[in-house]
Amino acid sequence: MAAQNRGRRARSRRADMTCERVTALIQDYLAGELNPAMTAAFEARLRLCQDCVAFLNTYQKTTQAVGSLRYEDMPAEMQSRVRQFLRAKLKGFPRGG
Amino acid sequence: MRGRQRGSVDAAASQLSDQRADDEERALIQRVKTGDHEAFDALFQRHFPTVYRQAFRVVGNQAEAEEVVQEVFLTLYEKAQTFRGASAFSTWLYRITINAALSKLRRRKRREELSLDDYLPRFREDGHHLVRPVVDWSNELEGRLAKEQIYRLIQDALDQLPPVDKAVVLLSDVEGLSDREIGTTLGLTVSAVKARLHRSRLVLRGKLAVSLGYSPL
Repeated sequence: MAAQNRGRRARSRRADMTCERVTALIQDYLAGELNPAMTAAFEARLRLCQDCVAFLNTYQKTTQAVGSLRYEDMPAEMQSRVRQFLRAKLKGFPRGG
Repeated sequence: MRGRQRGSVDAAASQLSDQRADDEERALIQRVKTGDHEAFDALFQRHFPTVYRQAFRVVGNQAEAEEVVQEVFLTLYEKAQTFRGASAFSTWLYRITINAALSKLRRRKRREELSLDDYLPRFREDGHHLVRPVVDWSNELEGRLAKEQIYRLIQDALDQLPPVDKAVVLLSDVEGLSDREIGTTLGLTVSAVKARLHRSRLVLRGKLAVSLGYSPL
């Protein structure tokens, strides 16, 4: 009886798992924050729906692309300019040390 | 086994070195509290590259990033007394940097922009995607666009997000902070961080799809 109920609940979770629901859960799925039953329902949906797979792949790709952003270091002349600016400003503050 | 032992020795050494750096910084900030300019200079030397990078990521250009760096180090000097040592010095400085960069963004005249909702996925009543099939362009991106083009696209898309959302994405996907750490830095609840992050990623995904000639939906 308990096994039947578990089976019914699992089927119901799979039936509720639409593309919209998958999209809402992608973040938690990728972070490994879905419980095992939800993970199973999510992955069952992926096996059935190519659109959901495509959406998941492109969402992941977006996150990877953002994560690959690289920025240049502060140019040397800017560093020396900021340092001079700060030294000039600090002259107006009491000096200790 | 030897490799694992070496790994744990390396981890312990790195932890020790982090602890030593933190102790040194605490000592320097104590001296700054007394008005010691040399200690201030030492902190500037140690932290300006990181502060600059963090500021640049949020404001997106050198000129404003430079202004943020100036503001941050002046704030460091003026507010040194408020550093109570509950968190690491670098965390405290990080918070000052992100907030200074965010105020800079908020002061900017808001650009006319397309509604970001246009880039969010839409669904039919039965819960299926409105536009089908959803194209999987995940293996096309690098083949069709040069690395510089991709960076520019993402940077432009990030610039169109509301300032706090942009900061959330950068702190999560570039800096690798946890949702909790982002919440603490920006004064948001964890669930607000998660909601902003997810929506922003969906918008960015939509913008990348459009740039490749596909529907964002």
